[in-house]
Amino acid sequence: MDDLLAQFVIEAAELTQQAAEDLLALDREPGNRAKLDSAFRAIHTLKGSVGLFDLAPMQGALHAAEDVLGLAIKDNVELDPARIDPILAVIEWIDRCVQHLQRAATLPPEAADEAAKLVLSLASGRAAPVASSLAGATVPHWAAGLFEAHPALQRGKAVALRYSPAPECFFNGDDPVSLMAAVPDLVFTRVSTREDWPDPTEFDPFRSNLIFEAISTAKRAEIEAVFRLIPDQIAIAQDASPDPKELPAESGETVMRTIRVDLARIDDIVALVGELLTAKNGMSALVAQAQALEGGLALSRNVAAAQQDLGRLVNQLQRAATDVRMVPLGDTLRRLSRLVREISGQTGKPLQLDVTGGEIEADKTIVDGLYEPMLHIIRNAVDHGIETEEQRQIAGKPAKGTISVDARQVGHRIELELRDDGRGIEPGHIRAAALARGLISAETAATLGESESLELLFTPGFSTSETVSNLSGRGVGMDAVRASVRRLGGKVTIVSAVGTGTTIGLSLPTSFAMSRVILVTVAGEQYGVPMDSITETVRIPASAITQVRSSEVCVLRDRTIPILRLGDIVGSTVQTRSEELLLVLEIGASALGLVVDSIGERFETLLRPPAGLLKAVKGILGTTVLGDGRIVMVLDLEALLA
Amino acid sequence: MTVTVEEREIRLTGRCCVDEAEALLSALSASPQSRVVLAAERIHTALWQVLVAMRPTVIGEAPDRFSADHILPLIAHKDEPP
Repeated sequence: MDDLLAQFVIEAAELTQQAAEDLLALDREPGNRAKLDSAFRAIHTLKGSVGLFDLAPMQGALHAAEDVLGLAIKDNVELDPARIDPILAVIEWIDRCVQHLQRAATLPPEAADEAAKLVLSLASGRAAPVASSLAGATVPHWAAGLFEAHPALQRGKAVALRYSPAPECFFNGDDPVSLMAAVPDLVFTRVSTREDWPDPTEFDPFRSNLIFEAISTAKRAEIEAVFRLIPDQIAIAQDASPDPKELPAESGETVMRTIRVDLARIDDIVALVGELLTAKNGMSALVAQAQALEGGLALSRNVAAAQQDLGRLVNQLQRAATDVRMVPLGDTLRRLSRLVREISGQTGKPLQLDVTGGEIEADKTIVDGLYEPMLHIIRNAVDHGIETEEQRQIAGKPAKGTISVDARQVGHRIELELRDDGRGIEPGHIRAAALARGLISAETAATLGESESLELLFTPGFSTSETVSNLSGRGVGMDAVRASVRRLGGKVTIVSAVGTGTTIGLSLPTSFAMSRVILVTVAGEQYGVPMDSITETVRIPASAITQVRSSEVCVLRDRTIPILRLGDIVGSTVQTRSEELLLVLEIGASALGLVVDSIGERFETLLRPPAGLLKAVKGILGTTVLGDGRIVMVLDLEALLA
Repeated sequence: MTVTVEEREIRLTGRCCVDEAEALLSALSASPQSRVVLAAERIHTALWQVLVAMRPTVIGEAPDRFSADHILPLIAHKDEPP
């Protein structure tokens, strides 16, 4: 299977599952806007990916489903629960199509009819019964007989073949027996005759009379290769009812030095390494105890040495476990080139994609997770940035629009730049659009500088597109891009020059495993704060903080920044004092001061995603275990301050 | 010559091509009691067909696994289990 299609099959399975979960949640809770948005985004992304291939029936059905959800979002109404079943039917059908694609690399011929029925049912609001032929695609009679004759095989891996050499085939130089001998991985063979053998006196030795039927566990393509010169004399059928559990094994047939492992298993190992790290840190207490013993100095030294050895090994183990999850960015970047070709075809704008840095490696979740935001950025660039061929000629630019994607590794971060050479973004237009949509007031609009105006692009609900296009104008805007990059621990920035183009910068960690955290104390409680959002820590006299209406601000290096008190945010208000300690945070293009009581040690830690009850609490990035076994919550400041 | 006829024995040696099927057929027709000794690197389907149709006594080894497993059993003489 084509690499890209294989990628798509994996991604589609995740997206259909996401959409189905969201829709089922909506069924229980029709007013849940977040689930509605999430279902819409999953279907929207899926439709975008489907667009890369020639899969018009899938595209049509998804487009119709997206319309139903999009309308509910636009009108800001609850999704009629009667609409959910038809959309779920589309999702289930898409799932089956994807499974068929995985087996046969094409859609079954009935797909177009089935899609049309589904689209009708979406319009009428009743789920159409799709009597799918996909589930049990037909196997020719002879092949079914063979599979029955040899039932012990693993379902789905077998290929049946029936080779009936033409009677005069010897004159063409064919040697059927040696052809059959060349078929790989035969597990069952039946040789029969076309006609009964005649009397020796009438026997024509130059007339082929044998028929071969066999089952092989080789790939269909390998068998087709053997018979490539005589396609008219060979019939090949795949066992079409695979046991889904057996499917991944297909890729293991060729001898490869790699294995596929469920990510969850690797995560288990990473989590265990984290616990090992904590256990090792706990030995510090033993060293202290030994020291306190009479004559325990030697013992304490030995324990300390053992702890050091253990520490070295744990570090190596931790690096090895992290490395397992590292994959090159190229996997995701390659998919973009096909996307750009596709968009170029759809918009009639000639495009060129330049990619560098595909060899840079990052955690698999980050590399996979980058595709969706990059897809939206590129679509936006083509829709809003790149001009038409005529406009470009008038502007004296090359007819072909260029989108370049450059990845660089800087320390433990990947810096990605997505640049277009389009018309750029006029900050005034952005302000006007935000004003028109009621996102900002006229006074605010008047005070906004260039970069702050561009920041408005990331405001939820902002979209300057006048018409709904197949590409980007569906309201999945830059806010979704920022949200998905932030989920990966990254940041998005935007720079634009009118007339020459726009550059979107993505900055992401190369792996999740390690985060630098600083401990802060407020009202006697300790919290962890990720270092990557902190630009500096300063002490300022309390008098420098002034009250502006209901909020506080201070002037720091000629910049007025708003002040928030962590105590207020976590619900334990602290008295102000004469000198305040500020963490200065950069969020997007704006800075913010966060008042805390004190700051403590900085350390690297394996951050565990919140589990159980904590999962539902907004603003917690995860938990970490301190050396003494205490558990500290690490705050997601951007979410808390949003 | 890869089909060699001796007294009561027909030997297949070397590469037995399609055009030798006729020689094998006439040798076996002339002397159906001859046993056939397989010692060839390669035996064309046409010769295998002659053997399957005439079912002489066959000794020796088939040149490849496929013919050993799937063609020889078709020739096996009824008196002589494979």
